[in-house]
Amino acid sequence: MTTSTEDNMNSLLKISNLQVSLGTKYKPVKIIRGFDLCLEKGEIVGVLGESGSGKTVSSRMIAGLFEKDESSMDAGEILFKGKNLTMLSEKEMNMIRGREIAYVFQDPTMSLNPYKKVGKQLRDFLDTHDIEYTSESLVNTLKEVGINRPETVLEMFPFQLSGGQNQRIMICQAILGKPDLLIADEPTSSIDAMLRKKILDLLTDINRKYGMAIIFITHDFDVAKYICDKLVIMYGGLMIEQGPLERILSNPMHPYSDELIKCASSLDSGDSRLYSLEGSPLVPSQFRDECPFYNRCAYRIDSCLEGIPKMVDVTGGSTRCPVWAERGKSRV
Amino acid sequence: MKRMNMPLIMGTLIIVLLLAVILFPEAFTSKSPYNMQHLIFSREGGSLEVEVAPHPPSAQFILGSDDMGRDIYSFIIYGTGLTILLGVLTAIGRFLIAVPMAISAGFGNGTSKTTIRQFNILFSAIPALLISVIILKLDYLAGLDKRASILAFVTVLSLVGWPKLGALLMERVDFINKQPFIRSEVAIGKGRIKIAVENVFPHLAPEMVVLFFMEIARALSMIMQLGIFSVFVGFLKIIKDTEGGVSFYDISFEPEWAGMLSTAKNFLSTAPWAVIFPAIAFFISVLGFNLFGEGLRNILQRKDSLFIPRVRKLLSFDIKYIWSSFSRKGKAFSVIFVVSIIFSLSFFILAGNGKKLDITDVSLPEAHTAVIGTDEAYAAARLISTKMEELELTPMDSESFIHTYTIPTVSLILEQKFVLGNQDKYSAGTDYTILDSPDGSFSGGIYDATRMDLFSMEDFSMMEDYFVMIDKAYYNDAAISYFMNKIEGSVSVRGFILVARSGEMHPNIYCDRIAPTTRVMISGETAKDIKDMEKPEINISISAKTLGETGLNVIGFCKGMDELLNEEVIMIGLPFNYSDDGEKQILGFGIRLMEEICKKDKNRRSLMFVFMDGTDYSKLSGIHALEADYPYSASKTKVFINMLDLNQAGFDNLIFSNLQAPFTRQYAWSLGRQLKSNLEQAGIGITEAKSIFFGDQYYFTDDPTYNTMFMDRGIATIIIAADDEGNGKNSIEHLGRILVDTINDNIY
Repeated sequence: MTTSTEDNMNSLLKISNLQVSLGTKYKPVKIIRGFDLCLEKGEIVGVLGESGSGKTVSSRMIAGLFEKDESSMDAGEILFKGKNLTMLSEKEMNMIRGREIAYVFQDPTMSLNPYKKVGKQLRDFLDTHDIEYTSESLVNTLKEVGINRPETVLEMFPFQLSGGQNQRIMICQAILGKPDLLIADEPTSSIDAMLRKKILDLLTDINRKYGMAIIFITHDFDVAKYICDKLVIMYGGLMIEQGPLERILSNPMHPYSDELIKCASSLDSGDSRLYSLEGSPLVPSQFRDECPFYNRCAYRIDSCLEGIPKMVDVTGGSTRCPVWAERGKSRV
Repeated sequence: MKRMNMPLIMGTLIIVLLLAVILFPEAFTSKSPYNMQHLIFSREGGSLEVEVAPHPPSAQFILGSDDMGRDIYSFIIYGTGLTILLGVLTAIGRFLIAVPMAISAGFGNGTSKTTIRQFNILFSAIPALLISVIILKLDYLAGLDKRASILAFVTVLSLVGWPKLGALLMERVDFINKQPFIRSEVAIGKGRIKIAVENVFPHLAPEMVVLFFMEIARALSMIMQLGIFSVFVGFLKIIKDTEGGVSFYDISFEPEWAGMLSTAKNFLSTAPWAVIFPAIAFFISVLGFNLFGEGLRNILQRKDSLFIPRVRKLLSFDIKYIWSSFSRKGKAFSVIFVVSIIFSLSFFILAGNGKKLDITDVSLPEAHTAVIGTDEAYAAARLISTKMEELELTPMDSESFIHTYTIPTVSLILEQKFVLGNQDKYSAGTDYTILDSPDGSFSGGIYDATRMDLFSMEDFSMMEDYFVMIDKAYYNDAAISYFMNKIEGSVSVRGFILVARSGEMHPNIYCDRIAPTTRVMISGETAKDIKDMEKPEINISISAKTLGETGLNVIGFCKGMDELLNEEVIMIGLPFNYSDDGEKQILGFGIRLMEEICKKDKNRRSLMFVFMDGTDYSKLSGIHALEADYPYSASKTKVFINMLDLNQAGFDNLIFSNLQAPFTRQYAWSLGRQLKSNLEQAGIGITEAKSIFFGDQYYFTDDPTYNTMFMDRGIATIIIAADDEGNGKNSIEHLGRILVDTINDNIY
């Protein structure tokens, strides 16, 4: 899949055919077998998938958070504002990380240095990138992310704060650099359910206010539904469907997406009998050259075993199920 | 209720105790660790009982003594400093290697990772102890001085010990690197070095503080084990000839625990106390450091530990802020911390001072010469005694520093001339020496009586009006004087020419004026010239002045500080006569040396400075008077440093000998040995004084006065004299510094 440079200039981030292996160079395990993403400025895209589907690995690959010896990129390219991130040196990446691409981790308390006061950490970050600030602007940003009594919080250590507060501080740190892209890796999964919505609202606000694009990684369909404009659904290290949220909800073009929606809506509708998907998700050791969903698919046909299916463009996105793509086309 | 941190309390107690012992050893024991008491005498039931060291624990020796009669308790007390210092330095050395290695390995540097792993494997396969023993047993290392051997010791122990620490730290760095917050630091765009400094290091710090104390404990137990293999600082191997053959001793003169173990292990069955107590000392300090480390771990690894922020504050050097930030306990601790740092630094500062002994600012008498029996000599003696008074030395007899003695009547040669035929090439001292002569000019032929048997001769008429030449080699002195009297009694001769025995020629500025005719001693070469001449003619002229009959010894006593040792005296003998301005410097040197050695109140032993008169002529030398009327107990005079023949301000080589300071005179022996090695190290060449071995003693043949103190008074003697040869590239100032340092540092 080749893309002209002009196209790339328009989109903020364009990932094509990303393939990643993890582990030592003697025993690599292929984690990502195919991942494409196109993100425009100000968009919120959700990457949805079960654990082990490769969503975290692909997002860390974007920010280059793996050590050189623990991961290898087998194919594909990551173009960010026209620059191929995989070709950049460590030093150049350091200029981008935090400044242009911010990352919010899953476990906020663990992700802050336990021996540094919050204020010190934020100031360290700003100093690293030579961003000018005043203590007033710092306090204001903290207020903006919903921290009460920010002056006190600045003098506290991370372990003295709650998970929700720490997550806000992580988000605050992320937006202090006014990046173009924020990668949020399951930011709500380790937070109390009551606070989840607040954090999501905060992210939406930031998105609106700063026009910051967000890659939102989650395994929770409801969360994705609440916040995202666009969805990328992953399964077995492969992107299997992508498209606008509305379209996927109303008209999923892959059997797995269909099942996901059914599971989620059966919760919503309060059915006495919950719908669940038979079988278990694929782990990397079971990856084979076939449709990853074959074993659990109700619509499988023999041709699904003939290699990994290609992405097929459909109205409003693309899908990795040629069978459904055919059916959808015929339905239209 | 807060739980008590018992390990920390115990550890702190032990370390504070150790620190106190290191800083104020004299508060713990009044005994000197160097004092040896090999024999204990006691009277029981009328019979004399003699007990030979090692002595068991008793009221006199609390923990017993070792085989040389040194008190184990005070040896342990005084040995604490050096032993702990070694442990601390070794731990520092290991950290200096291990920390950079571990951090770079933790950040993925393959070389460091491999180095740490391979060294670890190597030292698990071959015990580090074995390697250290092999390296440190090398002859080269065994012969180093104190500071160099500490350095070598620490280096070797660091090199063999770091991999274990490195592996431990590497694991720790790895672990820290895997923490989520490190990932988030990467995600905000920080570089590796910045992360290492800002995150990894602070997280490593508590662990390192803990490991540091544990490492000291490890190093100490290694030092203990090395001690058992006779490897320790200040290692001295002594080979002693005994009737049963040659036996080797590993003796430590430096108080240090490992050294004690080494010597004492041979007496394990007969004198177990000599091994057990040093081992207990090791055990307690190892335990102390381990407990302290353990206790610190308990504190530092709590999440709300304020240790790291405190360290940060310390590094900010805002002293007022730091001080106010400490609690009362913290203040006390920080004082101890600072004191211990100053202490360890001062060790290095004190260890080295290499300035020369400057003699330029000593005020000397104006006269250009000062020989025995003259007013100038008296002035010089006054100057010395004034100086002694200034330095608050005490005189040996209550009145004066100056002791007088009577000298035989002697004259100082003012002018002399010796012309053979028409040759005027002969120089006094090497070719001829006038021994005795009336004033005036005498000339005449020479009658060669060297081949005659003077004993059987009765008729001397053929010698009439001649100078008679006699070969001293055939007769003894008594016989020669008998002949001369006999010849003079029967005929009138012009004088006597005595051919010197081999090595007998000596320069002389004195002569007698007793004999009616001239007596001159000539060298073998001059004699040969005379024999070659057909009709030898000689002209001798001399004018001399009779000297006073009083010699002056100036003696000052400088009391030592150690109450148990200040009965022991080091006697330093110096000349004070001079016959030219160059020699006058020696007087300055002597005064300066005395100032320098006495002004420091750190002399444990007492010192006796003796400035002697007439040292340039053995007949007049004050040493005889001193020996005959020795003002102190000879048995308590541990050594006599004889510099009476030091008659040149510049020299290439020194004539040096410690042969009369044998091993049986322990203090003199070790001082002599130390002095010799220090001189050699300073690049001053050493010529052994000529000696013969007779019976079981050495006799010096260069000058009879060399032997006086040792042979007649039994005082061990170290000879230092200037060698005439060479062009004087070394100065007495150089020698002075070495003497001062050696005497001040000599702790044995």
